[in-house]
Amino acid sequence: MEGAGRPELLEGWQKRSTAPRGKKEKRMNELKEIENELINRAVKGDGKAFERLIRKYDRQIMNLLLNILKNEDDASDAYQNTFIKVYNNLGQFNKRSSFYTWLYRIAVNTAYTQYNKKIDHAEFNEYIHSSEGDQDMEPDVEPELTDEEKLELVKKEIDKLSLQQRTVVYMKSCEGMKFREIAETMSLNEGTVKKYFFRAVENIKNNISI
Amino acid sequence: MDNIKDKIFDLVYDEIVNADEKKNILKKIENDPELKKYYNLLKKEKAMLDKDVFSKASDELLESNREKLSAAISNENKKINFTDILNNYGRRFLQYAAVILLTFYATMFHFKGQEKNNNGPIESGIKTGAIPYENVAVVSGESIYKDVDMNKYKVENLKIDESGDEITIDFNVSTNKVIKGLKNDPAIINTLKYLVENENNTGVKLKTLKAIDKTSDPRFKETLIKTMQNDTDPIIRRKAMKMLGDQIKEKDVREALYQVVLNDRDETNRIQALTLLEESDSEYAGKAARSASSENSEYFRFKAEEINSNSEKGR
Repeated sequence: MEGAGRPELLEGWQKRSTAPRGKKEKRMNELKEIENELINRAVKGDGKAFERLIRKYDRQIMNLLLNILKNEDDASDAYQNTFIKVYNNLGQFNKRSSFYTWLYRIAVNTAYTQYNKKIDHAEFNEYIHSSEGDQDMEPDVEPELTDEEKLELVKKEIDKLSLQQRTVVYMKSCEGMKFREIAETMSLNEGTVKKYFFRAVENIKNNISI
Repeated sequence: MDNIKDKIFDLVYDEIVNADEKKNILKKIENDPELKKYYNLLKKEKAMLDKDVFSKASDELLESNREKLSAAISNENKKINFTDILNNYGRRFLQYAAVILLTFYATMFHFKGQEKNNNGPIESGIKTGAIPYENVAVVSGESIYKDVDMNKYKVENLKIDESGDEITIDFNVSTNKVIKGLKNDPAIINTLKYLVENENNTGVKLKTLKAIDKTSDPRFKETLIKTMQNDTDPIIRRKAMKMLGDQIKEKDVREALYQVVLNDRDETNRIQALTLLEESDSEYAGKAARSASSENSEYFRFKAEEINSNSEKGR
């Protein structure tokens, strides 16, 4: 839980990182207790508690959905579906595990279901990237690019990745999650997650000159 | 060597938390120019995936979604409040009542069914789920149902529309169906063909094409050609084209690819068809390339010129 961009850190935990380890752990436990208290109240139908819980994480969830689904309308639909599912299933959440990971898993599954309903491009993209000869289809001459142009190019290449590769790249590079955590969130094993990441980086690298 | 490279990867991507381990790896990198090169490359790759390349939600987007969610949750609450009204006894009473009612209806339905069996054989056949499909001309869906034992399925909403001399039977099969068989089973082949040609969901179509790919059965050639030329989705057309690549030696496949070069509205598909023709048959490739002078795509024209010059060299 040490990566940049994690909700806990955004809540200001990092600012106090100079505090002794024992104190830091104590504070983390206190915050987890507060979170559990909010969950308990939300389960009993306290709307305000649920709202506080959402506001703690929903920006990260919306960013995740935007990066997986690539447009605001789909991300908004997935956002609504994710939190309605969370609301209806909060009672089943096992408080010993991380709420953040549980929430992320629901968001990823919701995004995938929505994406698959529209079109199963993921498989096809993977097929396109893995098949031989396709590289001949793109002119491989790269002129000198400015940093901004390179950034745009990388963005475009990320959009071309398969759904799984895009999710892993986002979680690793933007959220700073560990591969183990990503694997847990996506219900995959760590090796598979790493493989997705390697392939994604290779695909991006092959199409731009870094 | 691979082990240390894995560790360098973990170091660059912040997978290692132990400070001593980090120091150890950095020391090894310092002493080995090849590892240093690898380390720098990984760092460059990591920098490529800077946070700025990812989309961020605007405050407006987030706020509008929060409001919408808040409204949706109050609706959910209303649903919950309704059930909360019922106390434990009330709920139990409802459960018992539901069981009694269901039993009553099931019994009534059973005896009613038997009574009708004595009166009319056709209708009784329908009620018990046996469909006399062999005795009627099934027009739509024939490719699916021909080889499948329909007696196994329950059918609801059986609609008989009598107009003129024809009878149309519209099956609305509501029970989950599983068609399982060897990949050369005619029922499987017919179903796959039917799905590729008629299914609306692109995801299902792609999966069907994948299944067809696994069969490597030449009997799908016509279906694939039809899909490559007629499907509304360029991605589906492209996938069918790729699969036809294995049968490129067949004249009708090459002819169909040539038509794609000339007529497909998707540039990538046209280029792909041209590339496949180039790899297989210079006559068709040359013909296709010569007709590309009016092509808008610069890359397509470049490719066509390349093929033309190659075929001239060949002569």
